[in-house]
This record gives sequence, C-alpha cells and structure tokens, in this order.
Amino acid sequence: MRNSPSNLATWQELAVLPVLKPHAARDLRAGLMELAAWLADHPEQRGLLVLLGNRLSTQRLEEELFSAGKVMRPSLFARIQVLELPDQCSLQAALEQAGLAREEAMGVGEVLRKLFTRKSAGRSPRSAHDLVFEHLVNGYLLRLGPMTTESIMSATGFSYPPVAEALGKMAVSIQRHSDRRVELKHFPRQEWSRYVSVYERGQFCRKFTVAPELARSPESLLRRMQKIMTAEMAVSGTHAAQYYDSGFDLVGSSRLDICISGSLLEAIPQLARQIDSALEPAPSNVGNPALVIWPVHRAETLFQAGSEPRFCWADPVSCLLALHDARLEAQVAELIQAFEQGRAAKLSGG
Amino acid sequence: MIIIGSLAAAVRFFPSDDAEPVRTKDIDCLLSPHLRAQGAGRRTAEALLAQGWQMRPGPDWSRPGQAETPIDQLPVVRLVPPGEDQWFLELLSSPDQRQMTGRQFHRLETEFGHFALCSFRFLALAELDPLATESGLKIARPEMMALANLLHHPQLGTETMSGLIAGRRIRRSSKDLGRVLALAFLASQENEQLIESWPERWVDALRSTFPEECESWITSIGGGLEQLLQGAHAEDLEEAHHTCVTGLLAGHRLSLPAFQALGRRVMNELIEPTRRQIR
Repeated sequence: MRNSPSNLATWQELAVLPVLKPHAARDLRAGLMELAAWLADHPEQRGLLVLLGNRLSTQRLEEELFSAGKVMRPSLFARIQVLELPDQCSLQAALEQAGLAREEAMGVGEVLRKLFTRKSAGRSPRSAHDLVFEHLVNGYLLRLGPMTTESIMSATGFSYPPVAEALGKMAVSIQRHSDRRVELKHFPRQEWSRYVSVYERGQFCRKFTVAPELARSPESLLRRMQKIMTAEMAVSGTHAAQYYDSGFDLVGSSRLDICISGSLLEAIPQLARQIDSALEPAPSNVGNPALVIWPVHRAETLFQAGSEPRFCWADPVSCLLALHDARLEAQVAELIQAFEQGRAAKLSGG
Repeated sequence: MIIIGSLAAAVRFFPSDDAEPVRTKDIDCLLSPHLRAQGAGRRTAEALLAQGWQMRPGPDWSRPGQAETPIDQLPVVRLVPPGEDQWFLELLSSPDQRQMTGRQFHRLETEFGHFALCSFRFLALAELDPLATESGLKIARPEMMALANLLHHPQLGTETMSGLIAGRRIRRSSKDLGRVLALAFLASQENEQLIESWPERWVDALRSTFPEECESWITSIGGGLEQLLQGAHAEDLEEAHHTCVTGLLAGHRLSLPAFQALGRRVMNELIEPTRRQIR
C-alpha cells in the first residue's frame, strides 16, 4: 500500500487533496494521479481534488479531465470529484457553492484549514524560539496555567527539539513544575524587548494605506471586515485591547489591526482589497497605515471568540505587538498591567 | 421639470454658500412625463425666448429650424439668458416607454421656430422619485443619474462631447462614467452607509422601469466602468479624472491614482453586489 500524499486528509469517507493555485496542466495531472493512486488502495473512499485559486482556463480543465477519464478505470474516475474554489476567505461558503452539502462542506472546510495550518507552520518565517515565546506569553496573560511540552509543540507546530531548545533559552523566566509542565513566572520584559525587535526587523506585518480623500474610519473598515469574517481572522490592536480591558483608552486610534492565519496567509493583498478595494500596499515603515494585517504562524492561534457569531479577537501577544507598532508604548504597559492585575476580565475562563 | 446632471448633483451635495462653487456650464432640464413633455417644452422655450433668452451662439445649431427642416437637422433647445455667456439651459424630454434606441429626437414646434427635443432612454430612471428642493424645483436622485450613465455606456465609446471641458475635447463615455464615480464619492462623503443601498435601489428601479431587459442589464452592469479601470484604457480614465477635478470634484484634489482607487471601490461595492443580485 502506498504512503498518503503529504497534503491529503480524510473526512469520513472522503479523501481531500488540495492543489494550490494550479497554473499548468501538470499541476492538475499530478494531483489527479496522486489522488487516484490513493483511492485505488482505499476502495471505500471517494476523492475530492480541491483546486484552490485555479489559474487554468475552464476549457483546459475540461480537456484535462476528459483525458484523465480516458486513461483511468471508469469505476475509479467516477469516485473523483474536482472542485474549483476561488481565492477567497469563506472556505465553507465556497464549498457549499461548489455543490457540497452543508455538513460535508463544514467537514471538508475543517480538513482543509488544518492542512493549511500544518503547511503554514511547516514553512513559517518565524523561529521556533519566537513562536514558543508567543505561546508562553499568551498562556501567562490569558492565565491558561502550566503547559506540557507536547501541548506547546502542538500549539506552535514545531517538533520536540526546537521547542525544547526554545524553552531552554527562556529558562530564567520559566517555572518548571514537578510533572514537567512549564509556565512563565512573570511577564518577561527583557525577552519581550528582544522579541519585538526581531519582529520589527522581520517586517512580518503587511501595511495598507489609502488616499486621504478616500480614508475611512477604523470602525468602517471593521464593519466591512465583519461581513467577510472567518475563523482564520481576528481583530487586534486597540479594538482588541479595549475588549480585554474595557477601561483601555482608545483615543487616537486611526487604524485597524487584524490577525490572520491558515489559508489566508497566502492571500493577504486580496483580503485587504476585500475589506476596502481602495487600499494600497505600503512599506512597513509607513507612518499612518489604514489597515495592518498580522500573519499568525502558530498552529493554535489562541484567537478569542467574540460575542457575535464568527467574530474573534486576536490573542494578547498579537494585540500588544500591534500597539507597539502604533507607537502606543504607554498603552502596551497599561494593557500588560491590566492582564497581570486581573482587570482584563474577559480572559478565557476569567 | 426635473433638473438632472451636474447642477442636480451640486444642489444635492453642496451647500449654496459653499466656499468652492461647482463649475457647471449647463442646466439640463428633463421634462416629465413624456406625454406632457412636448407641451411643457413648447411653453418653456417660448416663455424664455420671449424674455430675451437667445439660442446658444456658435457656428452650428444656433438658429431654430422651419417646418420643412428634417428633424436630424433641428437644433436642440439650448438657451442662454440675456447678458450671459457662461452657461446655458437645455431642455430634454423623458423617453416614451416604447423607446428602444438610446437617443431619440422629437420635433418641437414653437412660435419662434422648430427645435428638437432629445430623449435618452435611460433617463426614464432619472424620473423615479425625484428629490424636492427649497426652490420648488425637483432634482434627480444621484443614484439614478449614476445608473443611467452606467447603462448608457456598457462599453467605452469614441463619441466626443460637442463642447470642450476645461479646454479639452473629451469622450462622452469618459465624462459620463467619471460622473458615476463623482456621484458615488460625494454620496459616500455624506453618508458612507447610505451608498450601500444603491445596488438594491438600482435593481428595483430597473425591474420597475425596464422589466423586459432588466435581468441581462443587471448581470452585465458596469462593463464600461470596468474597461475604464483597465490599464489599456488609461487615456479614458485620465479624461474621466479631468472632467471630475475640473467639475464636481474641483474642491477635493483627488489625484489620478486616488480616482482609480475610487473606481475599484465602486466596482467592488456597488457594481459587483448589483450583478450578484441576479446570480
């Protein structure tokens, strides 16, 4: 029996194989052959080849499928369904539009999201050290309690050696419990300074501006973002700070910060244009961006569910990063203090 | 009588004491309904000419025709007030429900001679629920003027305006589609959320006014605007920008890239949602 292709996943009796932005017939053929080979060993399963952001023409696609139908066993070919999904945020809606039943669309959507998260963590531009640090700080601020190394591996998407090495580097700030679980003893201010410097140098966030005459308020952008919100998006910056600490001073907020994860990591410019098509990409040192998008590369985002359906708030670390980027240093300190003093009342379980 | 065009937009969006007055050179008056347009047009033209208003001077179309003058050689009613040469008033007829062509001319007999009353098919939309003003005159709704312009230009054309706009010869489609962007901009400046109702209003208006054709028009609405924003039509876009920044948007200093961004916004937030109402 063959090994499963690395990006194949199953949901019930459905094997899902995504192909990202196929632009040549060979991309499609390779996907079809991989899926067919797997299905040949799993006669009880059906196959779904998902073309995400397809670049092939409809005619080319039909020709290729026609050719594949001629060379494959009819009983095998009949078990393969090919779905084209455009570059968009609402994966589930797209799957339903493509003809999947609601429950099936939810299941397949979840499978695809996990695949992307795994893939994203695998090629994260962020170091294990930084992602482990983020997770520990989030755990400290959200009062999640001590964590096992396995849970940190799962949350960051890194294997044991880099996670253990990262924990070793932070030994001075970490409390190790007798059951080998770990947690931060205090907010690691010195390490935090190093972390934000690395983040700034890495220019990981993407900024967007708009002509002054066309400028919209952050609340307007937020309202537009809510219309396309998915589980891979969360509101960050001053808005999230006010969620965590209702006494947080919002005066001077002139931008919207959002966090994204999973499949959206591949579609940041498209997402910005979906929120407001007048937005233009800007350099990372731009003074007054209208929208800042923060990629979250951890496998577990720790986005906090809001009171409205599908609405999420970014994790505390992302929120602090956005405040720091907006040069709101006093507010960074204020929010950390609110978390430490338990004033941030909306913590998970708090 | 319903005022349409740039003056209607100015009345709707600019206070009368605005520091930067809108520059417009014509007052477009739509005579509505169609059945009464002839009578109203004749009485209006005769009253103005009797008070000393003149035909707009120029080498062509500056004298009324006669009974034997073919209709396509009759001048439209463009009248300049006494002692004025900066602006003129133009009379237009609302279209007959059976009008299938984009533009049609109707003979207008007056005691001063024969004229042509022009009716544009899509100006039927400008008759819908016009807004009352303090002066007692009615003005067309901005969203309906924008819709009429969009429908009039399903693709970019080559016909140019008869007069110059701020010293330049401009294509009609550039001017009209630029107007769509200007109207959307001014409306959203006033109330960003109000403009979100335009797609629904457009579809309702089309279904009630053009029930036969509306489905296909809705599906393909904005084709000309879409072309205008493509790199291959940079000249048309620049012309549209020129007409706006020397006219309705003179006070807004909108750069060409910002104007293009505005176009993307209109495509994404008005045109696409309208098209989706059919899919």
